[in-house]
Amino acid sequence: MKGIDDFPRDLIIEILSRLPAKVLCKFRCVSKRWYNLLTNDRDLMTRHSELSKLKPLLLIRKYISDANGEPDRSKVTIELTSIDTEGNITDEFREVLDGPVHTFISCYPFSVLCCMYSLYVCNPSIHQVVRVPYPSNARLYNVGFGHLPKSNEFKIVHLLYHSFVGDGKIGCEIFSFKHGEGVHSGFWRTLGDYPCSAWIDGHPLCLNKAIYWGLIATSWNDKSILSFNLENEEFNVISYPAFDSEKYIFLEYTGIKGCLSLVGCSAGTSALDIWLLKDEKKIWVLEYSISLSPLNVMFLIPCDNQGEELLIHVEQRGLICFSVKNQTCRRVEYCRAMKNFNKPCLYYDSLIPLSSVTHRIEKY
Amino acid sequence: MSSPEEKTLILKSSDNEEFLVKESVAVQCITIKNLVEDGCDLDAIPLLNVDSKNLAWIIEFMEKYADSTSTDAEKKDFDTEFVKKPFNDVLGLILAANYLNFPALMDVMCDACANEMKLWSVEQVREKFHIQNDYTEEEEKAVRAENFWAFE
Repeated sequence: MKGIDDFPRDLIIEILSRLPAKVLCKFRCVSKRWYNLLTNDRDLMTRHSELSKLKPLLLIRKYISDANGEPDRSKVTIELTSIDTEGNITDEFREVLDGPVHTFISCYPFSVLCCMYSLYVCNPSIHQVVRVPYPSNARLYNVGFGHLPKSNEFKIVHLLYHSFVGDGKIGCEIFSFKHGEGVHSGFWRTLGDYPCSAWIDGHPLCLNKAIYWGLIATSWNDKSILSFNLENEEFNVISYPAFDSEKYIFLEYTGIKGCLSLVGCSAGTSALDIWLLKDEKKIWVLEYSISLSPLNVMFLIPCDNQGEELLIHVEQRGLICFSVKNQTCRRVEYCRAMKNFNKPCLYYDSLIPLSSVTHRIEKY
Repeated sequence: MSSPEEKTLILKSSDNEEFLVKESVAVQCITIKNLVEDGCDLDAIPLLNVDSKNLAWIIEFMEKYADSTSTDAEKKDFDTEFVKKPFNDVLGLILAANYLNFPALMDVMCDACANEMKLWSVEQVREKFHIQNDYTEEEEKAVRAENFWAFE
């Protein structure tokens, strides 16, 4: 029997691309050829990403109180747990950050953790957390994270208020870096202010080369969505669909089949109305209505992939995956892993580093 | 139901064994599909890189997947049993599926191979694949240190 090293290269890649990044990093120790294949090989990285996108994972954060008796009280230890869509824990690791995280979002294989004064990008698959350079006394407010496939660029968009009284303007700064070149190749730019008298409320969502934030104006009923186009870097406001303001106890947005979707949960009935924004005509269409009764709907996990499943967290720590295609629900028990009510993020396994590791063994 | 005109092909393994397979089933292998579409009119299609052991398995798999009455759940159960073969046979099937360009089988067998490998140590990988460790002791130590977290 031939050894695998005698297999055609495509076949070796086809097999290895199905292994999680963590295992591939371990297997770098097998031989020098495997080191190159599992560190520098573009074909393998591409195929590995293609296959990982079919198996998204959830990343959950939890604070560990006083793990190592950190002498520096301002630091916080966070535990990041990965679970698959069957509810199994696939990986877990800890990192020390400069403070509690107020925004935890993801885009493609990475996630962003934003604290009051510090910002980090994370590739959970390879246990890498890298700080994004930012002036140390400047506060970080609303941070969104998006990806532009054409230029293979990631952009972190920071929306800030220059004054607490609300002077009708939102300031904007962007940090961009290229996928594979690491965070250290990135840089900040300031965009002009955007006139907007509303306040930003809600979890940003990256979908189709744009980032969306909820906006709240004078009252709860006066809501709309702020969109930021990652390509031309322009802002826009999208109004909500017309519906009875008393109808929904919560309204969240997510992506379904590549469209922006608003999901409204009706008071008391666990009935969900799923609105899709039809891009061509910029109109909202009530596409589906489903009932999850008797389960109590708590929140959605925003999806930025082309997937056709809505991820709904229900009370008793279960996850309901509703397939819009088949109109069926699947329940995932992830209570062991989902230790608290912090929203998890969706991501994909990836070998691609966020900072270039100095290779002592360059190339063979 | 198969019509009376349903064509049957003869597939000949590298060790000269002949197998009868319906054309509609055999064309799941793109290599065979191309031969048929190109108007190959040989009595038997010679598959020079596939021996009878592998060909028999491949035909078993093809027939299961071509069967429109089998549900996704049934196929999954079938796959689970089908991949329970000695590791070298799994590799042999991957090579054969690659030669015949049979995507569904490739997918199932590559997943099975990866699932097996997931649990291996670095030493086991070298042993099972007959790979020579060409690192010096210091080099290997350095790579392990670089990726220490992957061993936890």
